[in-house]
Amino acid sequence: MIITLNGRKVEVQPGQTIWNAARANGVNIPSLCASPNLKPYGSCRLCLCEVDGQRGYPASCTTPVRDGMVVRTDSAKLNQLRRNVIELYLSEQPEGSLQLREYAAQFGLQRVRYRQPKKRAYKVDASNPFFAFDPNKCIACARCVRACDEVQGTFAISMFGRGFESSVAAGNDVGFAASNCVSCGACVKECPTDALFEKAVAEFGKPDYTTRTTCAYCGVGCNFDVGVRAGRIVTMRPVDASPVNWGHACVKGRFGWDYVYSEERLKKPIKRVGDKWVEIAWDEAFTMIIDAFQRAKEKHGPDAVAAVSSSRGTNEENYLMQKFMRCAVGSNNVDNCARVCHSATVSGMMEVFGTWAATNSLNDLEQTKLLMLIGANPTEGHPVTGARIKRAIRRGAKLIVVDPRRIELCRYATLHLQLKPGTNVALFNGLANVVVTEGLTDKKFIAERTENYDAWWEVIRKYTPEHVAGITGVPADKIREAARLYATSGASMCAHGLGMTEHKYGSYGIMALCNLAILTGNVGRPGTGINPLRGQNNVQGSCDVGSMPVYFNAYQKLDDPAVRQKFEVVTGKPLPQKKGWKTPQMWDAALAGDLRVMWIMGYDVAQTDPNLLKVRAALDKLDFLVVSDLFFNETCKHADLVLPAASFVEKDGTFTNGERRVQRVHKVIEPMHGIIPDAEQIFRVSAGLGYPMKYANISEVMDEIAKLTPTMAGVAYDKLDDHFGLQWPVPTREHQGTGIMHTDRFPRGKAKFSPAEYLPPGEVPTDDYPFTLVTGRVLHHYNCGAQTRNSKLIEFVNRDVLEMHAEDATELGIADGETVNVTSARATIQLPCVISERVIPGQLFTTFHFPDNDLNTLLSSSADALSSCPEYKVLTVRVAKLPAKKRAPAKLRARVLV
Amino acid sequence: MLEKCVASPPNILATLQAVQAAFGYVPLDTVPAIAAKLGVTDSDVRGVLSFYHDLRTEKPGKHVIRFCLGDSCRATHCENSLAAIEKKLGCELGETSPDGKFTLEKVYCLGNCALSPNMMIGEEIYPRLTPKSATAALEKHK
Amino acid sequence: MKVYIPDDSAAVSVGANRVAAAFPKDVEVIRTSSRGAFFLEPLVEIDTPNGRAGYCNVKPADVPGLLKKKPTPISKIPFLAKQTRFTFANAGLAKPYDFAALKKARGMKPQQILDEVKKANLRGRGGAAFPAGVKWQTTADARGQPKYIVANADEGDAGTYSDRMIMEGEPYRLLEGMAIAGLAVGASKGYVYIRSEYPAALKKLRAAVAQFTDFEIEIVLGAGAYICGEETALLESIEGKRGMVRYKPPFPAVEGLWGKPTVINNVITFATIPDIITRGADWHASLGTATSKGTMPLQLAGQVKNAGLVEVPFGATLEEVIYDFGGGMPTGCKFKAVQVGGPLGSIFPKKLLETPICFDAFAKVGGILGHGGIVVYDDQMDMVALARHLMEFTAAESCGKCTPCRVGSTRAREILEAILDGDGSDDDLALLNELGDTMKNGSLCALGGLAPMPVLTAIQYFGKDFRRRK
Repeated sequence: MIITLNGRKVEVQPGQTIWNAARANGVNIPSLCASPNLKPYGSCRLCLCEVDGQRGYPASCTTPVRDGMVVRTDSAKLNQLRRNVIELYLSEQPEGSLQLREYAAQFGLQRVRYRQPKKRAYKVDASNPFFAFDPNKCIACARCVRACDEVQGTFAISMFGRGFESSVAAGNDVGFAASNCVSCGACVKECPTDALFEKAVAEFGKPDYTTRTTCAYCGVGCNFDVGVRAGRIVTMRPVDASPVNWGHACVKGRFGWDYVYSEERLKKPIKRVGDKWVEIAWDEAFTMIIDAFQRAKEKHGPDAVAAVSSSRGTNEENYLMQKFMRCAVGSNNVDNCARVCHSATVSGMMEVFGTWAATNSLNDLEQTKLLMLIGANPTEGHPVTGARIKRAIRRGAKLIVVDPRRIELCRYATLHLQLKPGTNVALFNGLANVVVTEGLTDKKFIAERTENYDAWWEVIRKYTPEHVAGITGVPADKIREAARLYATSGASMCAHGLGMTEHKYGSYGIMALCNLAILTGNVGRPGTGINPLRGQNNVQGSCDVGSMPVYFNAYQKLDDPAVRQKFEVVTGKPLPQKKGWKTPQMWDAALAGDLRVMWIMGYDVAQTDPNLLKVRAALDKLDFLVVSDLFFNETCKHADLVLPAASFVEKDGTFTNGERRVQRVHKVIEPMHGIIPDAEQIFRVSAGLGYPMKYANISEVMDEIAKLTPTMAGVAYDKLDDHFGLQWPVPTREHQGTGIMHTDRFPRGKAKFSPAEYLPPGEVPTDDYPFTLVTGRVLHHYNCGAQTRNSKLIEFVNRDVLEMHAEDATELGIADGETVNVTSARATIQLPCVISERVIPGQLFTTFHFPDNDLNTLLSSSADALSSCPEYKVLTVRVAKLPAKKRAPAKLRARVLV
Repeated sequence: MLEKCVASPPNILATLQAVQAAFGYVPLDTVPAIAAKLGVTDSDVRGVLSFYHDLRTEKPGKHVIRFCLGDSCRATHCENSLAAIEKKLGCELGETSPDGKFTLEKVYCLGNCALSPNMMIGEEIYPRLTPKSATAALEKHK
Repeated sequence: MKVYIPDDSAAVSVGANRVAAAFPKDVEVIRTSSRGAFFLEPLVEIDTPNGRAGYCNVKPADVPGLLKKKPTPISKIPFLAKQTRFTFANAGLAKPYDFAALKKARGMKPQQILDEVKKANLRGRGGAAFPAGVKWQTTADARGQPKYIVANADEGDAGTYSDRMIMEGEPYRLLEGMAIAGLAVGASKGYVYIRSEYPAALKKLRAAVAQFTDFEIEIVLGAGAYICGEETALLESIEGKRGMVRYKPPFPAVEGLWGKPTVINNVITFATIPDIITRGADWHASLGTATSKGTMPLQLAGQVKNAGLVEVPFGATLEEVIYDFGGGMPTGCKFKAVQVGGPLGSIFPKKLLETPICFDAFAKVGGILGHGGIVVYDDQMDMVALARHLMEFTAAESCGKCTPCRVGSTRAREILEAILDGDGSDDDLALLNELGDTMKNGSLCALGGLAPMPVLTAIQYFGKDFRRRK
C-alpha cells in the first residue's frame, strides 16, 4: 500500500497505524503514550496529524492507513497543538521530566502560562527493591498498565480514579511490593517520564553506553543491553528486537544482577587451614591444584581425578574443562549440572529421534494452535516464556496443562490434567491410545517418517483411558478430550520442564511424549515439536560441547574412530577410551576410595544434589577438593581450596539457550577484585600439568569447538554478533541456523516408536509417609540461590516454604505460617508451612533455594535408569507439628503465585 | 453472594454494584475476595471501584441525599437550597453529617429538570426546592 | 367514574401519588404516563364526549369536590395542542401497546427495514446526529457474531428527560424499536444502559422487559459517570470495566460490545422507529428541514414558565419553543441566555433565538442541538459562575484518558475561578481561547471536544461579565 507522507510517497502495510507506518519510514511523530510494543491508546494527543479529506486532527497512533491517504505530520497548527499539550503536562509538574522538557524545547514552549495553585505532593512508592514509582512525574499515559497487561499478563497495576485525579496504583492500592507485581520491569521500561525509575540508575546515573549480552539465569537466554555508568553497571535493558525475549524480561535477569557487586563475593583464593580459611595468592593456589592433580594421577591413575563444570558457565569454559580433563589429565571423568536436570530429556529424545534438544523455537509459540505444557511452571521458572504463552493464548491458542499442581497458567487452560506425581508414562500412553482408537493418527507421517509402530502399539493397546484414569487420577473423559485436542488442532506444541524428567522413569516419560508427537505428525513443522524448557542459561551448551563422561561433543561416541581421529588432530592428544563417571557415580567412587581429587566449578553439589548426606560424605573423603564459584556455598564448606570465579558480565564467551541458540556473552566490566576468570584458571592448571592451551582470543575456543562439533560447525563470533546468535544445527559457515529441526528427516533417519511401560515411582505414599512432596522453584530465586540470595531479590522471598492444602493443614492442626517437621526415610528437616491452593490434598510443594533447611537430605538416590536424572519430583514424607510450638521465622517473606 | 456474580467474561462493575446493594458500600478489604472470585486481580477491581462516583468505600449515613447540580437546577438557583442544607446538616457536599444520619452527595441531573431545583433522598424526589422546603424535607427522613 | 393520573416520577414528585390516594374508592384511578406538561402536574384527567379534559396542579386537599368543577379540555391547552406528537403521541393515554410495527417488520426482509430507515433519513437523537440507517447498514454488513443492539439510556445531559419519559411512560416503544433493529442487522441480544439516577424508570423498564419475549434484552445499570453516555465508554461499562473512551476507528458498528458489531443508539432514536415502520419512510422525511427530518422532542427547563416536553418538527425556532410553548420567562425574571444541548452546549444570547431547531442550523451558528435539552437562564445568572460550574462538571466527569480534557478542564476551571475572584486579565481570556482550541481539536471524544463551547460562547456574547474587577 502506498500513502503520501509529508509529500513523500512511502510503502506501508495494511493494518498499520499511521504512527507505526511513519516510524517504519523514518518519520518519528512525537508521542508519549504510543509504544511499538503496545496496542494504541490515544492519551497524549501529541501524535495528531492532518489527513486530506478528513476533518479535524486524527491521532496517528490509532488511525489505520488507507490506500492513497495523504498525511501531514508537521504544520504550524500541529506544532501549536503539541506545544499546548506539553504546556498542560508541565503545568502539572513544573520540574518536568527530561522527555517533557525536550519536547517543550522542540515545540518552542517558552513558559507555562497557567497559574499553579497546588504543587503535586504525592508520596513516592519505593517499596520494590529495584524500582520506585514517583506519581509526581506521572502523565497518566497508562503505558505501564498496558505493559503489565499486554506484555507480562500479570495485571498487577491499574489506573485508579478518573479525570484529573487519575493515578496508577498496584494491587489493592498496597504499593508495588505488596501487590501481585512480579517485578519484571516492563512498566519501568515503558514509562516515558521516569515516573517509574530504577533505583540503581537514580543512585548512580544514567548509562554512558551499553554493551549487549545474554542473561545468565535461565534457559530462555534473554538479550540485554547492559548500561554502564562510570565503570559500574546500572541497568539491564531488555532488547526489543531480540527474537528470544522481544524486549521483555523477568525480575531476575532485569534486576537480579546486583549479586555481581555483593560484598559476599569471593574475592581472593582461600585455602583451608584447620577450620579456618586463609587468603593466598593466585600462584600459590594454582600450584596447590597442580600438585594435587599430579600426585593423584601418578599414584592412582588419571581416573582418580574428576571435574564437574558448570551449566552456568560459558560454552568455552565447559569445552575447556572437558578438554583439560581429557588431554591434560587423560580421563573422561567430567560432567555438569545437566545431569540433575534434563538428562532424561536427552536419553528419551535420543531414543526416539536421535537428538537431544528442543525441536522447535520460542517463536513457534506464535504459530501454535495448541500448547501442551507438562511439568513446568513457566510463569515462575521461565517467566518471559510464561508471558509469551499468555499472549499466545490471548491470540487464540489453546492450552493443556499437565501438572499435579494448580499453577498460574491453569487459569488460562482449556484442560488441566492434574495427575498423580510419577504417572507421566501412563498418561501419555493413555493419550496415544485414544489417538489410535479414535482414528486420529497422522497416517502419512507414520508411514513415511517412523518405524516400530506395531511393536509399540502392542504395548500401548492396554492403556485405555479407564485404565490410565485408575493410575493417574485423571478422569477418562479428560484424557479423551486432551488427546482429541492435541491430535486435531493442526499444530500442537509440547513444552516440558523438570516435572517430566526428574523421575525414576523420566526418560520413559519423555519417550512416551515423543511417541505422541510422531503419532500425530506434530514435529518438524511450525508450531509443533518437543521442547524442553532448559533450566540453566547454558545447560544446553554445556552438554553440546562435550562436558559429559560417556559422550563427546554433540553426543558423539567416545569410541567412534572418526571422532577420535578429529579429536587427536585438533588437540594433539588421544581421546581417552574408558567411559567416565556421571556425578552420582562420582560420589560412590569417592566413598569407595577410587576417586581422590575433584575440581568443581560453578555447581553447588552439596546443596542441590539428591541424597545430600551421601554427597557430603563423599566430598569429605576426597584427598583434595578445589571449588571455583562466585560465593562461598555449601560445597565450599567441604573444599580444601576455593577460587573466586568471574560472573557473566566479567567475561566473553557464549551461552546456548533452550532453543539451541548460541548467543554471545560480551564482557561488560573487568573482573572485579583481580579475579582470574574460569577459563584462565583452566589454562593455568593445564599448563602446569604439561598441556598448555594457547588461544590468542576466546573466540578461537569457539572456532575449535566448531571444528569438533558437527552441529556447530558454522558458528563463529563474527556471525553471532550479526544475528541474534545462531540456532544449531549450523552445518556450514554460510548457514543461517535452524529454527525448526527434523523437517525432512531425523538424525537417526526415521523416528522410532519407543514403547515404555508404566512403572511406579521410587516412592509411593504409605502410612508412615503419606504425603507426596514435589520440589521445584519460585519466580524470585534461581535454583540453589547462589546468585539470587546475594541480591536484593531476597527481599521478596527469604525462605523456602512448604505449600500444603487447607484440608491437610486443618487435619494436622497446622496454622498458616507454622514451622513443621518434614520427615522422609532418610532425614528430617524443618520448614514453615503455608496454606496453598496450588497443591491438592495429599501433596506438598517446596523449593530448594535456601541451604539452611537442607531440603535435599530428604531425597533418596532414586534416579532415572537411563540418564541417572534424580527423582526430585517424587518423594514421600510425613509432616508433624513441632513438639514445642516454634513460631514462624521473623519477617518470613514468601510469595505463592496463583 | 459473590457466587451469583461469577460470569464469563467477568463483570467487575456489576459485582461491585451487587456488593454495594447488599452492604451499602464496598469495604476495601473485600476487594481481594471479589477479585479472587471473579478471577481478576485486586488492581482490576480497585480500578473499577475508584472510577464510578456511585460506588463508595465508606459506610454512608442512614440516608443518602443526592443534590442536583445540573444546568436546569443551576439556572433556578439551587445553590441557595444547598447552602441551607449544608448549614442544617453541618457538613458539605461529599460528606456525612456528624450525627451519621445523612450523606450529602452531588449528582448531575435527576431528569426532573422541568421542576428544578431538585434533590433526591433515597428514591424520593423533592422538586422546586427553596431553602425552606429543602430543610423541611430533611425532617421527613429520620 | 374514571380519573387518569400520571405516575411519572416528575408528577409523583409534586404529589401525584398523594392526589391519587385522596380519591374515594368508587372512583377508578387509572395511572398513566405524563403528557410532559410538568408545569400543570399533578394533572388529573377525565373522559368527556369531546375527548379528555383535565384539572391542573391538583393538590390532595382539592380532591373532594374536584370532579364537580369544570375541567379544561386538553385540546385547549396551547402547550399541548400546538405540538406535533408522534414519538410521544401516547403520552398521558392509557392505550395498551399494540406492537404493530414489530409485526410489520417481521414480514419485511432485513434489507427492506434498513432501506426504510435510510430513506427516512433518521438522524440519531443522542447528540451526534449520525444517520441511523447508515449505522445499521454498517452493522448488518459487518462480519462477526453475535451482533448486539444497545440503547443508550444514560441521558446524562442536565436539562434532559425525554428518555426517562419513554422508559417510564411507554417502555415497549423502546423495546420494539430495538427488536426491529435486531431484525434488520441480525442481532441476537440487546442491552439497555440506564443511569442509576432513574430508579422509577428502572422499575418500569424491568417490568416491561420481563413481559417482552420477542427479543432478548438485558438491563445494565450505570454507576454515576456522565462519560458513560459516550458510546464507547458505555460499551466499556457494559463490559464491567472502567468507563474509558475508546478511540475510533474502529467504530462500534463494526467493533463494539466485546469487539462484535454493535448498533448503539439513543432511546428516542429507537422510539422513533415504530412510526417509521408503520407510517413509512416518506412520512418521516416529509417532516422537518432539508437536513433534519422528522420531529424532535425538546425538553424545556430552567427559568421558563411552562417547562415540559415539546415535540415539534425540525424547523421551529428557539424563540417559538421558549415563548410560544414555554410561555417565556416566569414572573419577575428577565431572559439572559439559553443553553441548548446539555452542559456542553453553547450559550446563546437573545439574538440567536431566531435559530431554527435543526442540526445544521445550530452547527452553523456554533451550537449543538444535542439531545434537545433547552435550559433558560435569567439575568441573575452570572455567566462566569456558570462557565466555571460547567467546566467543573467537565473536570469531574472526564475519564482522564486524554491530556487536553484531563488537565485542560481543570486548568480552565482555575482560570475562571481567578476571573470570578476579580484576578483575571485579557491574557486569561486569550489563554482560555487557546486552551479551548486545543481541547476542541485535540480531545479524544466529544466531552473534551465540546467542553470549551459554553465558556467560549459565554465570553463571546457576555464578555462584559468576564472583564470584571474585584
